Amino acid sequence: MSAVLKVSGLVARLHNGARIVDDLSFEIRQGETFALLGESGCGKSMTALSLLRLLPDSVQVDGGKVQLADADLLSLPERDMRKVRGGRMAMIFQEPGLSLNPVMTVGAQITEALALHRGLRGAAAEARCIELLQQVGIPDAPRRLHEYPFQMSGGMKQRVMIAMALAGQPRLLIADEPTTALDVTIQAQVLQLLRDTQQQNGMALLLITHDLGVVAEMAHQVAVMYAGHIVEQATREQLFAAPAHPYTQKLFAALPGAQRRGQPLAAIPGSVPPLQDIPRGCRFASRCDRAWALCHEQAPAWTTLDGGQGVRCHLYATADAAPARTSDAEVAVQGPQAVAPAQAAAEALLQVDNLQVYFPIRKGILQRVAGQVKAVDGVSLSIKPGRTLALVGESGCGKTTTGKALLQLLQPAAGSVRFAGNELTGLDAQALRKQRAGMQMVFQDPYASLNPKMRVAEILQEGMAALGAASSNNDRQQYLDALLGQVGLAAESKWRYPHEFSGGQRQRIAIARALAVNPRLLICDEPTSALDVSVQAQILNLLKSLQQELGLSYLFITHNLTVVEYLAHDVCVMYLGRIVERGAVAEVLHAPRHPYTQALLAAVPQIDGRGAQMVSVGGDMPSPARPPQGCHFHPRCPHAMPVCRERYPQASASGATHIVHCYLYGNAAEGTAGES
Amino acid sequence: MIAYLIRRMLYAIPVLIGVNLLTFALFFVVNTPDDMARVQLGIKRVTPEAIEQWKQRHGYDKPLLYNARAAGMDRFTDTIFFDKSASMFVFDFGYSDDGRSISREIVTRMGPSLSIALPTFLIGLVSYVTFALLMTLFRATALDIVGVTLCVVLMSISGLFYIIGGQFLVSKLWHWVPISGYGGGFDNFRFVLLPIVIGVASGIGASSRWYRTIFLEEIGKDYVRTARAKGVSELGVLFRHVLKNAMIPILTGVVVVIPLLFMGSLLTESFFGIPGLGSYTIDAINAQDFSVVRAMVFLGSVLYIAGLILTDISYTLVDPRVRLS
Amino acid sequence: MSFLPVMLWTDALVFLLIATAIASAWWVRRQPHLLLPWRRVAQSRVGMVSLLVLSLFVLVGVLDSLHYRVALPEKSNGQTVYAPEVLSAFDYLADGLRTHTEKTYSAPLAVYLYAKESMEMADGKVVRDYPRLKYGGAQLADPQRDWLGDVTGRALTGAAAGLLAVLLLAGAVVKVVPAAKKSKPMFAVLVTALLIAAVLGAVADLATAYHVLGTDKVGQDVLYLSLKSIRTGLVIGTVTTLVMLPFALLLGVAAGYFRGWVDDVIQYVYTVLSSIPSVLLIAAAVLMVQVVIGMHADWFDTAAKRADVRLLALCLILGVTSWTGLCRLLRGETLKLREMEYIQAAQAFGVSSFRILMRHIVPNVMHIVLISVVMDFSALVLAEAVLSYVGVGVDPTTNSFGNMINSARLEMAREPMVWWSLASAFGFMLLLVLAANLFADVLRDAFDSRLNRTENS
Repeated sequence: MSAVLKVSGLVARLHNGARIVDDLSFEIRQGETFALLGESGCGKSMTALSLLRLLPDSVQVDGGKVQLADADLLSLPERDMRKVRGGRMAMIFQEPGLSLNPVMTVGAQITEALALHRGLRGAAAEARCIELLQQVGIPDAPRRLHEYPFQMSGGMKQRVMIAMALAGQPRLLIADEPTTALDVTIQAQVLQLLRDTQQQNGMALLLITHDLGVVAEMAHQVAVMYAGHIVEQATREQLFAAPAHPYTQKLFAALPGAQRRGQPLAAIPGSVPPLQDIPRGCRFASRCDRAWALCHEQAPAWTTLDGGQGVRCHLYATADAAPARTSDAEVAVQGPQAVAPAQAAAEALLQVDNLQVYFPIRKGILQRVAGQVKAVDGVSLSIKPGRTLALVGESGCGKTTTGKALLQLLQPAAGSVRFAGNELTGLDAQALRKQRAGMQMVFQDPYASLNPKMRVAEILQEGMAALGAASSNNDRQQYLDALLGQVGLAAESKWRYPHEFSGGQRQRIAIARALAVNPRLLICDEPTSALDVSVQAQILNLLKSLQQELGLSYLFITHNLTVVEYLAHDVCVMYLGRIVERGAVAEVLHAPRHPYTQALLAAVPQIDGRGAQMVSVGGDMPSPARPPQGCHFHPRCPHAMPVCRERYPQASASGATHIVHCYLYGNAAEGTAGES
Repeated sequence: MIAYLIRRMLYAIPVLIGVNLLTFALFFVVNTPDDMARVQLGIKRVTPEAIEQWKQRHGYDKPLLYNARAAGMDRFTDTIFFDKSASMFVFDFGYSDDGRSISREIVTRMGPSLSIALPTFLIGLVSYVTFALLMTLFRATALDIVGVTLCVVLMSISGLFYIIGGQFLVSKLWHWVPISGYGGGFDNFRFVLLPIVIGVASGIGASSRWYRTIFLEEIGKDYVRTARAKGVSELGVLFRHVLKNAMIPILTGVVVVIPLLFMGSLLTESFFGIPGLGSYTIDAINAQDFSVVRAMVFLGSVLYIAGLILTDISYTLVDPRVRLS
Repeated sequence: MSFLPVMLWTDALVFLLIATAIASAWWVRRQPHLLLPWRRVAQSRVGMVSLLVLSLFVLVGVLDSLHYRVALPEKSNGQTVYAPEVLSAFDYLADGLRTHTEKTYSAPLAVYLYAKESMEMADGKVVRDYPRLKYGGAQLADPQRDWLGDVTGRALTGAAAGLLAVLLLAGAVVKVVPAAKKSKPMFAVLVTALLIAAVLGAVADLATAYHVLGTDKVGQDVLYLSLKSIRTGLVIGTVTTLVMLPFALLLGVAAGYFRGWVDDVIQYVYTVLSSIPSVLLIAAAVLMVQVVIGMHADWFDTAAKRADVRLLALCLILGVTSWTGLCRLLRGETLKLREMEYIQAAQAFGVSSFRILMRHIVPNVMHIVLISVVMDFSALVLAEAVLSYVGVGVDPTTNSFGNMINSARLEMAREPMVWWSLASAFGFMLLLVLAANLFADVLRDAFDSRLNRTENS
């Protein structure tokens, strides 16, 4: 097959001269999916934008050649380039919510592309538009045509984006992190759609992603990018069987998962170098445990190995000069190898019963309360000392609200929260303050969770001051130093401001802030979802070793099942404000019973290099303002029975700790409507 | 939507009561009815009897806010404040100090005010948006820099200068149009032309620059990148995508002033001798005629609140996401 | 010569403002992250040039705020009696300008009066002609012959002196702070400084012998009047903001953070205030103040004090009408900030609401406050002129751009035209406002390039 796109020696630089895309060369053949894999800030989006010549004003292409079929894109006049954009080469973006024009109907936006590239107008355009929407799996397309983007869910919007991209019948589709903003079940649907489309019309796909799982599912060819360079390029099979570049190897090793349970993850120290000062030698050298003097001085050349696998590393160019490889065990973070044994007998540290958090819906002239959004609708859970409970669910299921309600940051409508034997609901501010030290929270976004106007020392002291942990200044400074040491930061960092730290370091500060008041339970709300894989591994290792040192309990709120598998002891799966299944990690993740849990697990891309799997569940999660009658999951459930439409299933136990709310199992069929 | 609008209109009532209380307080804190009577009667004729008589004739012989001698609701209604403001709510503004009906005066003066303010507003809006679009189209080029610099200079010039300079240049030096005055019929064109041109010119700096900022902000958004990736031309991006989105913030500042156009412009009208509400207000201020000032305050507040409600309605027209509730 | 220092109300506020500014500058110096945006300002050519111009205005304004009364030579009962006239340090420096009053109008740099007069010649004949000015060009024996040479000579020597002074100063600065040489806007600042110094030098030299900008109806030097007006403009532009700032900051932040009924009340108050057309509200309030001042003439022992109270009142009233915009802006920003995770982290520690407001919210909205303060400044300076025209501005005896324009605009109809008063007022105002606007732009870009000025509700 011929190459649809041929890129050679592409360079893009900032105005200050930094080469953020440096000497990129690759080819994409017809019908092929080419994955560009890399962490944030490595230049992969800039690569895509320079192909389309849509770079922001601060960046410009500075050499190289981009050949699309027979056209040399970099030398085309702008007029002709416009015909290429959306015509022969189309692109979809990461945030479907922001990438569609909010004040135009989706029909108008697709029709615009049809008019530009296919010359279709009026009824013909509308007919084609409906066809396209149907092709991307939007039900009721003739009606949806006249809807605005805000009326659609995230997955729907991404489908519309794809329909728009397909309007010009492109030969190459560039997908920039097309599923990063989507939930895992929706991600599976969108990836399936991309594969189906590709099969139908044989277009080439340039897939830009940071997610090895997505690569494993989709790619034929993979290029790994690091700090503007392609450091390795191979077929998917080659890459997953034998990654060559130390960076790629590390990326694989940093992934959490069941097989790594009980041992520390191989985190890559440090973070991606900022674009402004890219090092002189190999760009990965400062974080590479196999680097030697040459790596710091001279940038390695491209080396082609057997089987066509290419790599940019001195290890392969001058194999004999390289020092012997250090073993993984030496590199790995030192720490106890086994998880502390479960203390099944211990009293629960946190006991939550039937927690409900409602948000009122106001209507009418007098703003009367017309209804409730039941964000959390009768959640019960318990955490024992030293254990980790994972609360798993997709966005909008109420898991973050649960966390905030536990901390009494939100007023629960009903239910009880007992922490270390004390009831927290209904306490006044004074009484609550006494309990606050025991339970603290680590937030998702390390950029929003630290006040930019306060020094690290002030941030750490805030909780101590508020909770009245008075001590002499000298003691306090020593305590801060110890605290920073505990989370792996230098003591001097306390005099600095948050903006001087990277995302991972900021998350360490946030953890130290919580630890400052000696809590017994940490509520971690997606603490790693804003971080790169290599940095995520550092934070997970830290959390794990802190648990072993301090005997902390965690409530780990996440959507990432591989993290759960690696870190948690128990799991609760949440759907639309309720827990649908709970149990030990082994029970829930290896023998899931609820169809939703099964669907969730099936949707997680498997990193085995074997390729795609089938979509397990269709549709979107309904709005919590109008949950479906009966079992909330029945509209999407492949096993739904008449009874599921009528009443919410009661709990049914399948083992000592494994509980599921589903009519498929046991005595639940006889249950009543439950708490609602 | 209807419920929302009704709610907004009901909210106007306490706001207007607040407005009345405030103006009322401002005036009567220092100027008791006795003082008013003394000023009105003149030095020579002031006797306690004459003052009482004047107060009785003009309805100032009651307590200001709270009538302790009355019973029930009358304690609040049988007062100067209630008498003077209740009638306002039905747009009965009473009489000015020279004995003319304020309501009639307002009605007759609205026409001239509008004949200046409305064209100024419309021509202004179109030209500011056009100018801003041009700067946006040529952003980061020399043309843009010159445009922005020009805007800053223009907005740094006093509004008085535009009027005095314009009058001097166009009327006195070139004799194109009369310096001031107002007439009926088609001939009136000669009189309103210069005020309108000056009105548009004096606003061009600040408004164009503001709209340009809005356009630039929109043009940096993701949907614009999508449109470009679709192959839409730069003009198409600007007119089909950016303009409509930018209307939302622009409307916030623009629609609210539409009802206030009735009030006319103080400066323009007084410089050009236009018999509108603006010059009426200035005359009242200079004559210290409280009845007229208070009527204009009330009218202005009503129109402002109407502007706020109109703004909300206009959102529903340009932004499909807004469902008023 | 003994004198009695006089502290007017607005003087006190001006000095309070300066003290606050110095204190915050000293504090910011030690906070690297707060210093960062200021460094960006310091790197901007436009910013530093406009700052230079602004600081010259401020210098005049501050000198004009040091007031005193001169002791009269005669004593009553052994007690020193002071002149009723309140002077300032600026008046002292510009004594020549102040005291050299002519009979009536004279054009800039003129040696003859604007109007013809009947004069008795040496031979007893009465001639009707333009008389020589008392001060302007009085040193010239034959104006027809010497005027041009004298004016050019003075302008050139003055300019040369100015240039020399700046060059010496720049040399000294580079010697003391070598880093200044490498600073990016250094060259632009130097060129501007040289330009300004040349103009100032020329004007200063000419002003000793001529009325550089002419004289007004009662023969006062227009240059002197323009310079005196600067203080009024600065006071209105800054003191007003100082007055409104606490309200806007406190109420805006409280409304956004507490929401609920606090928000309802605050929103109600600012809806009421902003729904009244501001000119009318100001007019009503100024009329009220006039009445109060008129009724209590005995409160003020000098005319200056009375005029000053009226100026202060105007500032207060402008403050009341102008805080709503900032308040609304801050409320919106606080609504966003209160959802930030670091606020929730503080709440999870049980930190009190007051502390959260002071430590987390207020520092993070200060850039909005700063930007809007600087942006408001120019609007207020322009508003003074309009209000004075409408008749609700500063006291008619106060020197201000508005009063200058107001008294000069009718003279446009004279033949030949008296344009210099109007032109000076507009010129000085344009320079001040333009510098402030340019500086505000640089400040806004440095502190927040994406501040959403269109924030609604």
